[in-house]
Amino acid sequence: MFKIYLLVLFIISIINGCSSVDYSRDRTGSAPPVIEQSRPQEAAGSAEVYQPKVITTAAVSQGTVLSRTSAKLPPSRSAVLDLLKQSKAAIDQGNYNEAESLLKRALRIEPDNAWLWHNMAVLQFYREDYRQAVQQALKSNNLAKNNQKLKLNNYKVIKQSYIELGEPEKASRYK
Amino acid sequence: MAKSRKKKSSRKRKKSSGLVRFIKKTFLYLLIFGTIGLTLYTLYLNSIIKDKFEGRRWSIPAKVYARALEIYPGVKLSADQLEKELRLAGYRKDKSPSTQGSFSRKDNQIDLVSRQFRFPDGDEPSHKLRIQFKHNAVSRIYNKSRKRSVSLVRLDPAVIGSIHPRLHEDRVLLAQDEIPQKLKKALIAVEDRNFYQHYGIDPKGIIRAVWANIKAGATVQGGSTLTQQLVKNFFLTRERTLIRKLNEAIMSLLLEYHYSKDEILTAYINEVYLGQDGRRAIHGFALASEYYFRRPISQLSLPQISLLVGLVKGPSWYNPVKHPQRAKKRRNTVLKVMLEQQLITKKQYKKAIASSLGNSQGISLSSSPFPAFLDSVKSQLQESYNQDDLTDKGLKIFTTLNPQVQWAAEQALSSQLKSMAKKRAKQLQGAIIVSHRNSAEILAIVGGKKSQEGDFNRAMHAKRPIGSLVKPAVYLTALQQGYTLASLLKDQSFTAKSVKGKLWKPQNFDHKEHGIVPLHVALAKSYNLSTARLGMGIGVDKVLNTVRALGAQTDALPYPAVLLGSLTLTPLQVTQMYQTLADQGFYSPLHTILSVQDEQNNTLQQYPLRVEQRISADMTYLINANLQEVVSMGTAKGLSHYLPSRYQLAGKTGTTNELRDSWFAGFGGNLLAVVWLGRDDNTPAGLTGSSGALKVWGRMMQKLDVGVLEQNQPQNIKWFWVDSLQQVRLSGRCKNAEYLPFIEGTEPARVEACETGRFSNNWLQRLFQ
Repeated sequence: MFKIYLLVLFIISIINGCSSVDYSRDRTGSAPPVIEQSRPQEAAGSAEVYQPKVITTAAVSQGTVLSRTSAKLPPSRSAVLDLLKQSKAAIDQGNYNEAESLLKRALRIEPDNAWLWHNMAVLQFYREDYRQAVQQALKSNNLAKNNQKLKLNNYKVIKQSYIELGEPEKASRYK
Repeated sequence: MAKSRKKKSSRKRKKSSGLVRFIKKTFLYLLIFGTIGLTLYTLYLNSIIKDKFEGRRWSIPAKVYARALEIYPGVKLSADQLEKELRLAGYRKDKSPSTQGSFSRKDNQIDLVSRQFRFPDGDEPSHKLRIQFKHNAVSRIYNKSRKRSVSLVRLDPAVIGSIHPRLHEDRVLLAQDEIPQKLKKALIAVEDRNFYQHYGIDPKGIIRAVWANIKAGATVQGGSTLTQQLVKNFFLTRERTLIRKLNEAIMSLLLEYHYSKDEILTAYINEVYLGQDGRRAIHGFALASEYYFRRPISQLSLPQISLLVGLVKGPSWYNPVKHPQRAKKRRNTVLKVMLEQQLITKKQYKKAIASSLGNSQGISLSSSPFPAFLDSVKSQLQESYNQDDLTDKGLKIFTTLNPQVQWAAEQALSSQLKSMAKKRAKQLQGAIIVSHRNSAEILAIVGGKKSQEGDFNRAMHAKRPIGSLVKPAVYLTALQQGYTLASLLKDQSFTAKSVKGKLWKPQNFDHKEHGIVPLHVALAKSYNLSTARLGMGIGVDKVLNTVRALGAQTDALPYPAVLLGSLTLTPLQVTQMYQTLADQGFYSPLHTILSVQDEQNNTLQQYPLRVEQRISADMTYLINANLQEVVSMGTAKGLSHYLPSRYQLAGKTGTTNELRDSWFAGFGGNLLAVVWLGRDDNTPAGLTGSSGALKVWGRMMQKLDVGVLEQNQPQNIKWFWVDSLQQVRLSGRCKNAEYLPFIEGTEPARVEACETGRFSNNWLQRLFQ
């Protein structure tokens, strides 16, 4: 009798173990708790967009104040790129605290860099802090000037964040 | 007959031997139970000892670090500034630096060997660097070991203080090898001659002490060992019962069993109570050295050390400030003992006893060069951090303090006060907060004109009426309700009903009425009448909501006087308000702590980056543009004396009734700062915002990289040449035209050409005279 009880217990625990949710960032593509069933393709596609890429100097220049006044890159740019590289490596390893710390350092050097803010927003998304992901994406857009590609990326982060938060009306406002 | 006697005696013997056996048995039981009892009790005390002195961690305070200096080509840092930072971080100047923590300087070049340091986000190894400067900025960083230029280097941060996160006490701890030999020897000679020989208790010592004290007719020796005294120090109550003595004895033995003599001595030197400074208890010789003599213990002379050692017997009784005669006598007694023990020569003895006490006037001395900032760190720890994590085991607290900014702020306040008439300056106080315009990190806090521990931190705690500093909130609310910078307002007197039916009749500062004025002019010139009228029209409660949205928590009631700043806020709260404005409507809480690490370098808590868009970027853009006008043509015109107009600074002056408070809040591209001047007793200070606080702000920012303010322009903002009075847009730049930003679609619809003579009236010029 006791043996059977143990067996049942064992089976139940196996089942529980198998069903634990995997909270890696790939989850962004899997079914969120609310609707959007009609567009699963788009949702899955969005997962790739949130990968922060190592940013080229040209792309970074487009997002900053300096592009207006001079074509020359500021001497601090390589420092910022260096930190950006390190933060991406940290994200890849799941060290989110470290990544945020590195991005903050970069922001102290170039506070109006819209790409850095975009990466911050993405980082918050990975951490599932969706409200902050929205706010930081808005901040990035505020600094993005004419950079349509960046703005589009930020809209995607905002939209997916609202989906994750279960606020589809707000999500639908963003293309 | 013999038989009965035999029986009797044998019975007697049986009885007596039974009694003896009984006594023996009882004694044996007592012995056994007593031993068991004592053993259990000892184990209990042992657990207390281990708990208190676990791992030899004698309440190690948390180390508080300033921000780590990041050096990259182009950063605005001069050689002088870098040298100052290195010295703060305890770097030594060396002819040719080779060991970690050393540097050398040759004009515009600094060679240094940085210290290896474990940051929350990774290890920074030691670097051998050559840093070259040009025009007050870093031009090149050369890594000497790797033989190439580098783009970024981070130096180990300077320690700016130490705090007990939970006890609110300061300790300055000495490591074993930092304790001066003189101190050790004097202490042992006077307090516990056989320290290195006994096992915790010293019966011979007790007898000797009693005898010596009888001979001398005074307390020249103590009977308790240092170990016992250390144990006593940890039990704060002052009972002198037998049980206490027993506990003390057992625990002393246990302590000696667990720890070495040197460890116990070090703990004693760091723990012993040596005086009281108001609320703060002075524990440990290092702190006592700073408190009584204003210098580190390594710099104390023989008589000074002897004085401190003498204090052990009774810090209040022998207090050199309150009882200098007693203190001197006690010090000389200590010196005599040292002579007798042949620790000093007769010559040294004679010189020492003749010297004066030479102590400070008991002036409270901070153990940190930045007490106001440290104060805010303590507050933030209380509010935002998990108290269970804040142990007394040697945490590392990384803060946002920028020493360059802090020094500039302190300097600016003190030199501005110096430039005033002595009588007025004496009664004035001030407060300054400086932050990063875009990260809400607090770079400097000045709590008063003298940076002292325990001084009232006005920057964080002094609630004062903010006067005209509230006006941007009024105008922002108006913009949100459809007004534009070109909207026309009536700058005419009126009366309104206020608190309890009383009548409120505001006045302009110059007691004049200015008729019809454009909104942007009313803010730039800080007109009271137009602001008050506008505010009444849009609703005082709505204005207060804007103040709250900007991040200043106020429970002020919506009375009309609020429109002219009768609400009270601390400088910190004001800074928060302007921070949100400066960051284009994004609210981010001001903070001083970046992260907290435990003694094993694990990050306990990291300050999370938080932003929240509270006001739309376009509205904030408009208000900030108006605040730039305040500086270029309005009440803050005087700033041009300190910084050229190309900086395009934004700011607002604030003056309260009868000139009690003088405020200035302003920002550039990099820095934001709020300055307050006034009197603690709230009597009139006789300064307006521009004649007082603004000057301090200007002086400070002259020394710093405040940055050119080029506001990020939202897509829906367009600039036009307009004539507000006519409510028309102009075809070009006409004489007396205004160049203003508008949210697309809100600009005047009618367009007119310049050539018509209508626009040559001088009303605009008149207004800006």
